[in-house]
Amino acid sequence: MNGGTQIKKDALYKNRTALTAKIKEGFLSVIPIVIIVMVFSLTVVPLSSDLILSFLIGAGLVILGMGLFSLGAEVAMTPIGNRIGTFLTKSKSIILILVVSFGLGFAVTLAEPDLQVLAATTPHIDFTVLLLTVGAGVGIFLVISMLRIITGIRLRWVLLVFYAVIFILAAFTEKNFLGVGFDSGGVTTGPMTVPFILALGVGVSTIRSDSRAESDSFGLIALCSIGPIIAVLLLGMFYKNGAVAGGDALKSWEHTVAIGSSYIKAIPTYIAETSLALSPIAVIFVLFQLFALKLPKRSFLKITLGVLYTFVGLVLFLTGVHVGFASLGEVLGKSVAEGGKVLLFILALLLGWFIVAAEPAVVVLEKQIEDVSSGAIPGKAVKLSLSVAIAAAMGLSVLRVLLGISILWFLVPGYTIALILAFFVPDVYTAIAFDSGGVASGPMTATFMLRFIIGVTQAAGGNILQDAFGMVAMVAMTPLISVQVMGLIYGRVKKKAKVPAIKEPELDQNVIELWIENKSDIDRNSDDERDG
Amino acid sequence: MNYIISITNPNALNRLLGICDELGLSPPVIMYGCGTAAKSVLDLLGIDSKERRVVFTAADDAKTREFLYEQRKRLYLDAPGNGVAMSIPIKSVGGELALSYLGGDGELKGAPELKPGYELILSIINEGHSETVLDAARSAGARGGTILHGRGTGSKSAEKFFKVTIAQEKEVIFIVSKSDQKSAIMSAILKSAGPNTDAGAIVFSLPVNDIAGFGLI
Repeated sequence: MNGGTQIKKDALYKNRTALTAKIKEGFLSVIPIVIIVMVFSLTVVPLSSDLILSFLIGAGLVILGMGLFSLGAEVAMTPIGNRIGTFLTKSKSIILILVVSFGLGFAVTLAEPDLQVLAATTPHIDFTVLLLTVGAGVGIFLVISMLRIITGIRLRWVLLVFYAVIFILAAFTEKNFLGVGFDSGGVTTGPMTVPFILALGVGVSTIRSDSRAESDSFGLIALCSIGPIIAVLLLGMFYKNGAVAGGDALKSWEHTVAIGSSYIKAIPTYIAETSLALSPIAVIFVLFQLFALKLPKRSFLKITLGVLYTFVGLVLFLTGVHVGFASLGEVLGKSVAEGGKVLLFILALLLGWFIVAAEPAVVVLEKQIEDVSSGAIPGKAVKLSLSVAIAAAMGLSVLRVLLGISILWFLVPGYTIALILAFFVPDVYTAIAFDSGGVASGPMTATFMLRFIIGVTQAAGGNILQDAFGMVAMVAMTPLISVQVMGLIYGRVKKKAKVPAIKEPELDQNVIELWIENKSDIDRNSDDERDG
Repeated sequence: MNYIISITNPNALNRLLGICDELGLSPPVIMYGCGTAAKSVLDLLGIDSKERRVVFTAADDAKTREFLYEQRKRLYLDAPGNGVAMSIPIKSVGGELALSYLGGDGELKGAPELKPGYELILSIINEGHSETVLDAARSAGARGGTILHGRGTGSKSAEKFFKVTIAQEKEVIFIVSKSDQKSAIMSAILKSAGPNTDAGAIVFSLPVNDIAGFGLI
């Protein structure tokens, strides 16, 4: 160890602010994807260079966007959710809790950009009808999760009942609605909803002193993802409209100026989208600030600045993903599918493994888990099990496209295993697992990975609506199993690490003094002290 | 024997735990806290990281010295902003098993030598008032502090709301101070956040028998 350089390094270290740390975090989570895509495109999968250039620009925006977004989530979204949650518990008014939860769930979901993308890419369901249905679904289930916390019913029973309802509905609903229905569950809980609802749950539980407080901090997202699925499946039974979705026209650029202008053109779209997404949370926060919270000016200013970070971050992120990643995803899927099945599986698994780190909401979940458990449940372990899960989900999705079989063949056994596991795993892991299902399926999945699978489907000549959609559902399902399995393993380790039992506990109840005021007394008293 | 409180940055936590491990100290208890930087623009912009980890462990006198020395050397405690570590003498331990778990030998000694010049000020306050306390402390010359969040149980038993038990939120603030500044800091805190105010601060100070860290000197 060289002392001099160490100290210099340390001086640098100190100057590192939270912002650079966040951007570095974003860089580390996006760079593996970039490397994979570059390696594949330079060696085996021929892609046009304009796509790659646009992808690299997109990656830059995504890194910056993720950094700003997670900083904003930390200084603004989390405190807002926390404070509102704490306020609700403190108020002890059932009516207030229920009304506010429904309003929050409904408004936040309506504004979720992911849901709007989903609603726009599913032309067989009317845009407004889908939006309102899903919004109401989330609102109702946020109310249900509050009621569950208040009444102390175990999460596993609630999940069991509602997933039973889902699969009964799924048996009767129209085939074209299946994929979209399950996808909407994962998609609605996107980058805006997740940090907010997660924080709300933690806020509700933070002032509790009962033993279930920690596990009740999570599980809100889990129930909120059920709402949209039920809503869309119900819609599928009553709403008949037979149009079939086709793939979007592929983007290609003739020269660099074209790439630049398509980015610049995209930015206003996402500014509008993000403002819409943020507005309900901002309005609610201002209302709470005026009537209930009354934070000091400085704290209010700080949160306001945080909201601004979130806004800029999300605009950059969405622009990067939609312009740079989405178009590449489809072409990549198509050409790799033509290149051979082994290659296709390898790429799908690799992308799945690394893409989850680039979901902004995953970072927020990790942090919340570490904070609530004071590090006892390491965020890294959760991330690892998510990587395993998403890699598996991608592999299964590709398999499903190639075989062309119904998504229920995967979802029914998957959810059955997950629900059985819920009875063997500590509650807090069940709650985190079902939360991370919704968290893992964010904008990266909904655009890049979904497009990748659509590309594969086109190359394999499948039905996009039935084969490609449902991929998000798969991403939302596999973490339920892997995170709970992690919980099972951690539970085992914890039991093993217990302090050895004392053979005769009654003999070990002496209080041993380590020092006394007057040292000269020691010799005289030592015999008595020892006996006592 | 001493109880050692180390306050460190999250990214230095593993190094700190590594030192505990090497010295064979009793498994530490780790808590999540946040530091309070000065009221800077960086803080307002939210880009000044304030997360801290507070690590509690026990050790005998020789190991305490070693532990603080290693922290100083490897965590660069002498540079500002890298944390602080202090040890507080333990008076007695309940049970032989606990004693050996904590790594003590149980030999009865004379009163430990305290490090003259430093004390640890603890303030227990109602949630949301840490800024008031720290502003007061700073005005009396404190360099900063570390906040831990906790729940309190008041004199009346905890409130029930259906199946949910609601506790009061509390904050515990650690401020290391020079002995000659201690009284000024404590009375400043009492003045603006004392028991009669919303903050309801209860303030007391603990003796310290060894200390390492720049931020306080």
